[in-house]
Amino acid sequence: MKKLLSLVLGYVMTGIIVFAQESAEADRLIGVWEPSHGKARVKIEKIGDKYYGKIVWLREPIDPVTNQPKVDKNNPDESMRQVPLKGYRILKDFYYSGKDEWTDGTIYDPENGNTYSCVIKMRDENTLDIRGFIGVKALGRTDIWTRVAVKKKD
Amino acid sequence: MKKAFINRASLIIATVSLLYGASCKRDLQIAEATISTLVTAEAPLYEGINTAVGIWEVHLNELFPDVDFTKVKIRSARFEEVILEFDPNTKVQNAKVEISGRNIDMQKIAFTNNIPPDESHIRLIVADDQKKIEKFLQLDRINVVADVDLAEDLDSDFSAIVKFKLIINY
Repeated sequence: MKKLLSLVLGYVMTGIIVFAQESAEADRLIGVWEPSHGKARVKIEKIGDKYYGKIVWLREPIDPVTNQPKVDKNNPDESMRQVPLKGYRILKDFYYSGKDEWTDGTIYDPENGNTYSCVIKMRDENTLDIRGFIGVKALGRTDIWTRVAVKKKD
Repeated sequence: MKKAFINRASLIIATVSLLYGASCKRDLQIAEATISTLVTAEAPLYEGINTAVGIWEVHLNELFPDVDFTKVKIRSARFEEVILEFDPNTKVQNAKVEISGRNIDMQKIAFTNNIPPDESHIRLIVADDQKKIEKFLQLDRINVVADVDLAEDLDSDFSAIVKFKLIINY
């Protein structure tokens, strides 16, 4: 009986450790990242059990035409075209699928109002491959994002 | 021959019409409910966009006590009104509300810009395009995500109540 109990406890502890390790692995995505074009920075965070990324900085935050903060003027839903781009959640609904990959998400391009399927692959702790595609992953485009070191305020 | 064909065609048309009429016999019913969810963001919070999150535990029978969900199915659902309430001492400039849940894409529900400094009860602009809200209602819980643009740093936690007016067709 004692042996069986020890065995069960062993399995449970192993499960907890594996789960904690995977959770820590998945959370490496959290942080602030900059796409290759350098026009914006995106903060990736976890909500529930999925990962999301929102724009937290824009190199050119003001629309030269309106002289106002840039908004989502190309959104297919007209009622949402005044949503500010700063704070806009462009990466949505990513799950960690193991082996440094986050899948099943989407990426929104405010420049054309299109949403693409997306996978994120972590090359290393400070580099991501963000691949957006329609339908087939092979027919997409990859952009390289770099982690931004964020200074905390005093 | 021609007469037989016309008779057969008429019979088919009549049968299809009868079946269609029978399926439409029961008109769609509408029901309405108000949901309040607390969203919070932990301090320290900084000037700019901060995310406050809350959980909406979905209990359809409590929301719509007059609807027997064992006998009917929600055909469609949408949010008609979204209100944000927060401490009047907190200066919020813009706000946006989205919902997320397991195996469903996150949905932007409402937003507002240029909140006056002395306002703390805000009616947001609701999205025209709302997809699969009825699918969200099949979940046990929904994450309510409020992004608030703070005018200044905040040393204390931020909290707000998000109130939804939900309409269902069943």
